[in-house]
Amino acid sequence: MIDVALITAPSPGPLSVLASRHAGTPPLGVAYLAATLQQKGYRVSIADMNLCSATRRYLQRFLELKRPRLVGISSLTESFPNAVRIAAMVKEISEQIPVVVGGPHVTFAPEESLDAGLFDFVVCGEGERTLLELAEHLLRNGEHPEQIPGLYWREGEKIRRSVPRPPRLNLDEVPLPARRLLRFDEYPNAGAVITGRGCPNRCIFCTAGAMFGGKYRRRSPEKVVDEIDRLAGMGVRSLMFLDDTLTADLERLDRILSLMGRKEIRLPWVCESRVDIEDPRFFKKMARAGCTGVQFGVESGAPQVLARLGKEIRLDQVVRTVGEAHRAGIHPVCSLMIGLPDDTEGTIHQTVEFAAELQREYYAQVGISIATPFPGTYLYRNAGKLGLEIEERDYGQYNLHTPVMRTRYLDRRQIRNLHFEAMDRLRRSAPPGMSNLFPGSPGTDRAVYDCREELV
Amino acid sequence: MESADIPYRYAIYWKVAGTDLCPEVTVYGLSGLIRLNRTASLIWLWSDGHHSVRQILQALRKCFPESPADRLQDEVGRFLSLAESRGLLLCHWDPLQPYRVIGERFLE
Repeated sequence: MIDVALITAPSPGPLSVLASRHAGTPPLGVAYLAATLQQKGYRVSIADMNLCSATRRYLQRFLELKRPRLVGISSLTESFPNAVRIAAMVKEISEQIPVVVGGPHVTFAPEESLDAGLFDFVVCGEGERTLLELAEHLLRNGEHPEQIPGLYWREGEKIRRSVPRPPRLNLDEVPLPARRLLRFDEYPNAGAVITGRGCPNRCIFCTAGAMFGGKYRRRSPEKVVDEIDRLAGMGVRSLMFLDDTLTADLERLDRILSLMGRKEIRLPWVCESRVDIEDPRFFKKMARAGCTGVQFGVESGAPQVLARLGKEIRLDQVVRTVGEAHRAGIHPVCSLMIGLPDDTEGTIHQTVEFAAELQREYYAQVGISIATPFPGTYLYRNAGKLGLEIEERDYGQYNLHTPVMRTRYLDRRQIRNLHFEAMDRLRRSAPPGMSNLFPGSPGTDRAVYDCREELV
Repeated sequence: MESADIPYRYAIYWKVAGTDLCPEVTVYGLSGLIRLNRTASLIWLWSDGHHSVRQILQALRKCFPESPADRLQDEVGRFLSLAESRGLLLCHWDPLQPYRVIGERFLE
């Protein structure tokens, strides 16, 4: 028997499975929770249901064998329906096992989540201290939930809540993620690291700032490099920095890179950045230190749409920064989206043409998704004001490739069709060697495109 | 295929032209673009993870009242099997383990 089982709810769509198969990272959030609990002597196990090998039967056996006294489920919006299914499986085994749910989705929809009737508690925001204190309450007769900040729970018909928990300021106090509890070898990007939390930006489509605080809180470079050193010792072959903007503080990043050099850590790595990076020449230094790819949120190729996203970037910055990264020998990855509140058919064409230019000029890997109003985003909270109508309420469809809302200018069918056309345009204009990023065989696509094979 | 099975399309790039009753769906498959005829398009649109094979058949009968029921049943079965073999959808979708049915062949 264990004290706490932590389970990540899987995305319901096979596409997400494909993504995790090819680019999956260990669930570090859950591993941080586990480490915090272990530090206080709790016996913890993790079941990451996003792994291809994790089946319904595997979960059933995991629960039967481990017999946890408390179950914590982590979920995103897309995987929330599966969190409910997992909670039902737990309650089927025993109604007495408390089930706690956390993650960005329930943080912004706590009452709706409790209405599913299967969760006993919702942990909002960063969960380490809240879950630990809740475990103390449930398993060791600790403080009453009212005394534990960051919780929602149900008492009879009533939903109760404690005060919100402010984000932790000193991240160096958080124990390193309990990676040993994971099936480490099954992750293509096992070398994932978080060096800081929080985002100072206020993008209307993102919850990062609201979830982790509007300030980028940084771990000390020494602690970060100690963790990387351990990862290298575990045999990882590359690193992936999961911070929303690793390059927000170049002085600190410089220190991290120097320390890595001093320890002779020579692993290739990738990270996320912003096109308004203070000094794009820094990419050269990053490239010398092993950086092979940087992802930029470009969002839109239409200036008037981009200006209203709260991202505070401009297209000339995109061209300058993506170009600098390319010239430094770093592979740029650019993410854009369509179906934004101010998007029309015309602005979407602008976005697609801009994406094609980035692809052509800088060999950027370009991804175009569909704007999605996740709970907690400005889009979600101000849908009416922005002229949006959220038509799809099945969260399992919130996968960034399915239109779930209509805008003032476009209905869902139009958005879907424009997304398809965007994909088709980028696929056909991709430089040689990049076409393998798209579905379809590069050698035959022209013929298939011309012939338009019919089915049935 | 069981009538209680819930098919789920997982090709993410597709478009639909035509009308609600007479849709024309085009899908990016693993081997390129595939255009579906009217019957296949209707089945595709209903393969949203919410409708069972039985419900899809019932809906098709309303669209094609003149067609014999066994022929429609045959067409549904044939399309779903063919589409699954092309990596376009899953015939027996289980949201908790979508991988199980896809199998290795579409992952490499």
